[in-house]
Amino acid sequence: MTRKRLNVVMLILAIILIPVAYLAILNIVIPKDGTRFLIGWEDNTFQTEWTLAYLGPVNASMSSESGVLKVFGDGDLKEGNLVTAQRTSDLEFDLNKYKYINVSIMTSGFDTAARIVIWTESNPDYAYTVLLKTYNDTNWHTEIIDLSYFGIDGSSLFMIELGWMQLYDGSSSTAFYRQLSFSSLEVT
Amino acid sequence: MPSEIQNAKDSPAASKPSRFNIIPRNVWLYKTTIIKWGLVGYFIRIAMMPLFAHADLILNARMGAILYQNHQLLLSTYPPTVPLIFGSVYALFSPVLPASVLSGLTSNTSFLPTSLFSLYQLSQPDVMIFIFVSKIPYLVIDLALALLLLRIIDDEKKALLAFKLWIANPIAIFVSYAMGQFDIIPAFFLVLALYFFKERKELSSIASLGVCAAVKIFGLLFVPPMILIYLKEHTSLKSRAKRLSLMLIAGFLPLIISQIFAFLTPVYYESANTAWPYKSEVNGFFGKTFLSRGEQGNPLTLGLFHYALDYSISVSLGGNSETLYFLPLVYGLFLLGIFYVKSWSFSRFWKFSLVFLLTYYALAFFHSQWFVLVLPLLVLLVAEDYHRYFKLYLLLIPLFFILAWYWNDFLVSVFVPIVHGAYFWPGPHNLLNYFGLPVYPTLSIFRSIFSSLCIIFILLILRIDRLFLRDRNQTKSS
Repeated sequence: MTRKRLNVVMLILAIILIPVAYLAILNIVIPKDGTRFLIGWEDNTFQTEWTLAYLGPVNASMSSESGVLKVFGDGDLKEGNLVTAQRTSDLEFDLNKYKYINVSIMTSGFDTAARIVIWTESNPDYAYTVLLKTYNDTNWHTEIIDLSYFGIDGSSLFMIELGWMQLYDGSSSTAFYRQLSFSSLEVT
Repeated sequence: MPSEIQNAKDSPAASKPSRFNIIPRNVWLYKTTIIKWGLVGYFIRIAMMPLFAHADLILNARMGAILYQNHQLLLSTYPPTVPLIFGSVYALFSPVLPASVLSGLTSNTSFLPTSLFSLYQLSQPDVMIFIFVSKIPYLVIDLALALLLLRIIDDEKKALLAFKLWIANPIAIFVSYAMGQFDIIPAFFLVLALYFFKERKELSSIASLGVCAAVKIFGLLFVPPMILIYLKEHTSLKSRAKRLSLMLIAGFLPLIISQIFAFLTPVYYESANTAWPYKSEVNGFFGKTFLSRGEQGNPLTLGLFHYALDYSISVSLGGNSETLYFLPLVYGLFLLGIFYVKSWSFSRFWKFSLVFLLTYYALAFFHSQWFVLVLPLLVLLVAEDYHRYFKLYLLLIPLFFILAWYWNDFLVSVFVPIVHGAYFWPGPHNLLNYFGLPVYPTLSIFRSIFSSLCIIFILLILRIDRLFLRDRNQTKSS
């Protein structure tokens, strides 16, 4: 092999190997810890304080079992029907700090929109719908919602609603909720 | 330079440049300089690739990851070619892709607010390998573009200058390797189309523009002008009809293929939070309805109308919602200019295209990454007339970076892969506020200066190259 060819081979090797070595070093040197949520308030049982509310001609019910809140309704369901579980007390924490709602949701189908409403005061003018979403499967979905984007802050909440809204005509709909918490974000 | 030429001539290989050599014949004498600049440029890019990324890269990468992992298409305002490019890269480099990042991007059971999505994904372990892999096509295309500039200019010194200007172009480097935007790809295909235009390869140039449009729909605007120019060269009606049909096929085939691909690929059910207060971030399904920027309709068409019209200067003409939009107006002038001028040399066409793009950037909403499309043409201009344009070009660069301040997170959030807390660093807006300056009026002053600079470029090109003037001999003969 001539010297010139050897140089070319060395050059090609350097072009390939240097980036690989560089990546390997970076992977060791750069910190890997990422983001984590610190819980300020949580409800994992849904055993107390939750009451049922609904809008529309619907046979509504709610129950909680094994840490899962079930919000159910059947009958001649129409678009816009609402069924919701409400909790109105013991929600005192710093919303400026714990501004992320973390919750897992499962619905009965994409005709049922999961719906979360935050009331900062008893006046309906201060009720903020922060989530209205459909899923096309029956898996648990982890949702994290930044309340600051809705202009929600303060030191307490008047009420939180977990429920569903009917999107298309149907006969029964269910939304399940678990692991509800208000958290702050820590970035390391 | 003379000593370099002498050294190159002394080397035995200098006399034997093959036709298919990476370095073209016209600049073969400068091969040492080209290799040195190429290597420095390569390693600067390599150094930046894993370190920086903006949220936009993660959002684009997500489309590719979903296509690769779930074999589903995430509908967006981008043509399906974009996820296809990213998905192909992930398939190619699948053995080294970090599973944690990939699963985070493709999960349909774990949702984060848009505001946190990029922070969370860019703070994942091994994310640097992922963003490095995502940028590999940029690196290949970027260096290919630099080499293409060597071929597109006949004069050896000017070609070398263009190569150097591209390799050291801070805007292209920032957009591609810090932000991680893919606009370098359509820019390459635009230049490739110009190269084929220079070589008078009709179908190849039109097809290149077609690929450009398949990646960024804006490229479609160049297809009709180029077709018109080629048609002028055919005199008989039959010949024109035949060429027109072939050129239409070549121009639209890439887009048609990408649309067929989209039609055949199952759609990913992106769940949209319709309660989200910013409608521009409501993208996905709500029930059976797909929403793009909070509106119902085809995302590609909605995106086209949004970016082409909503971001354009417009004047209400009164009556029943009649509006004069700036972009179609300028484009209409562009097309009329093509009709008006009989002879279209390579130089005249790329300068004409440059004038069109600069007019757009001067007077329409400024999106940092979009400016990459005009950069190769600006480099050609500076290389052609260094003394006239270089200082203006130098002024343009800092103005570009100041305009990037319109987005408070632009210059800080790109550091998140290295320092995760950078996401919360104060941005340029905070800095301006600290000095008591109102953010948008201050930035708008720089925006106006940027526009004036673009207009100066336009006026100089029009004055010196007399783009709209007919050639004297043609006028006489007609």
